[in-house]
Amino acid sequence: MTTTHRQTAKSIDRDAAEWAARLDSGALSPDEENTLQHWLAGDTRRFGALARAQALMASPEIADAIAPARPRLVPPLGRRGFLTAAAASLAGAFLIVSRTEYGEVHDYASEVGEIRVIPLEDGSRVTLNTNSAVSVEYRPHSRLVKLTRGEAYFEVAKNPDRPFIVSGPAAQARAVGTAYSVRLGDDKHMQVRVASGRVAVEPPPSAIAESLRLSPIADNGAYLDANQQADVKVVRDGRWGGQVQISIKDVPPDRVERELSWREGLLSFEGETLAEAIDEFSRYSRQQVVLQGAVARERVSGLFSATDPTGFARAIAISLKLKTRKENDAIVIYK
Amino acid sequence: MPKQMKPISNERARWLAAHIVPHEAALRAWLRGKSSLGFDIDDIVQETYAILAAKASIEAIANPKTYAFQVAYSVILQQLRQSRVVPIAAMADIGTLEAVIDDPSPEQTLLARDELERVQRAIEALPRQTRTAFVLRRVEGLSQAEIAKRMNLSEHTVEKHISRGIKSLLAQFGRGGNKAVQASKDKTGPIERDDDAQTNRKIH
Repeated sequence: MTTTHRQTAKSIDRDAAEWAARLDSGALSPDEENTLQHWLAGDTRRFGALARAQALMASPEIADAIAPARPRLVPPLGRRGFLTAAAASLAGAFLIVSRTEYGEVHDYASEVGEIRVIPLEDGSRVTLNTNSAVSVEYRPHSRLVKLTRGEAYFEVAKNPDRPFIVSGPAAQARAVGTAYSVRLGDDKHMQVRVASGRVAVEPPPSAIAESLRLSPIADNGAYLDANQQADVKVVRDGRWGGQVQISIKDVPPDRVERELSWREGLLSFEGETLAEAIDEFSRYSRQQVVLQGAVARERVSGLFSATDPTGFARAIAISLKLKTRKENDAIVIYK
Repeated sequence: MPKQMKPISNERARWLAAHIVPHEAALRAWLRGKSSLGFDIDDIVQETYAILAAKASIEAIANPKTYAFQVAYSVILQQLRQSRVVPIAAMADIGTLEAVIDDPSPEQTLLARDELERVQRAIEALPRQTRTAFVLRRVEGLSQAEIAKRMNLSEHTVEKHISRGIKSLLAQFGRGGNKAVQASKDKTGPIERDDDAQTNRKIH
């Protein structure tokens, strides 16, 4: 290794990229073979940089990240010819388009442990939490989003003529321009939390109203302001429109913020019990964590990576002076 | 260094992709914490890949993450031994190196989300033709020759586009660090969270 004219790592990376592209295009000529040998022999870092380039080119996850992450409904002109096939095969995995009498319905879904940001045509943005699904439909006088699974956060572009309505089985949350999250519990339960602006929580239109295409605005619900949360329960089901119970409470702003940290792939706890924390982690990962005995009632605080329950177990074991062990595929936390 | 250096096999590239690449960001973050030792992080990462790529057999490596950290550690030690003057701070820091290496964290094989987003942004920032060629190669799996035909370009030009794409990957990948944690601490409001790419926010 020379020390007088040491090539910078960045400059090595640039050469390595050219070699990786050359190797990727096909067999080398004897001349090129020689030049490559010579180049590699000059500095061990070059071999490392080339190996790294080839590894990055072989990574399926990086390929996935490069794949047009957002469905481009109208590909820019010029790219259309090349990318139609790519867009169709890739986007097909999470975007399904179907038609209704109003127009297209787009379905989006996220996998366990995945958080997906979806920009909508109207400038709004949906952030899907782990294992969640929505379908989005633009109608002339409303923007309808059906939350069919999980939880999502909505940043709504203002448009007074087209209210933005998120509906679940228990209720719908209607906004004009605001930011709020909606989370489904079981069939009968739904939670709406408002970060900014104002949201109306109201029963979903009955099947009859829906079939008559009445206005989707119910106006018999309750209004939620920023830093408020509504828990909605179905009290009575019915084909003619059921009865729901909406309870509203204030939530401190920092708590709203904290509980929305899932958008960064993080979970934030402040004094929750270990059992509650583990329950939350189970939404993001299939890794099983078992609590043994009294440890379930220990309190935890901190910011953790949502998809790393193992790291969480290790961290809280240290801070709470607990022990962990592996049992089959599960992590057991005990005293 | 072996006399004949061959580019790595596809199999080794896939192994590195599956077992080392996911830990690169963590490795870089760890190296950043040791910057008082006066080394260049990119140098250490390249040397580490070189050693892992040149290893005759990788079968005995039970925990690739720990192994990669150990290799990086040995590279740092070797550089310190070669340099005439070892800074005093370095002596203290070396002791703490091993503590991290012993960390028995089970293997994490998925790439962190913010790394993938970085990659995505880097590719989106490429010129249109470069991006198209790169996506066709990496995502669609077309060969460079097929891409040349599809895009009506010479194979040489396609190779240039691919190399530009790889350059961007090499320059961006693994350098995200703990931004996600920081971003969530710094943020002021729910809509204010955003990519670090957009630093100019409109003020009304």
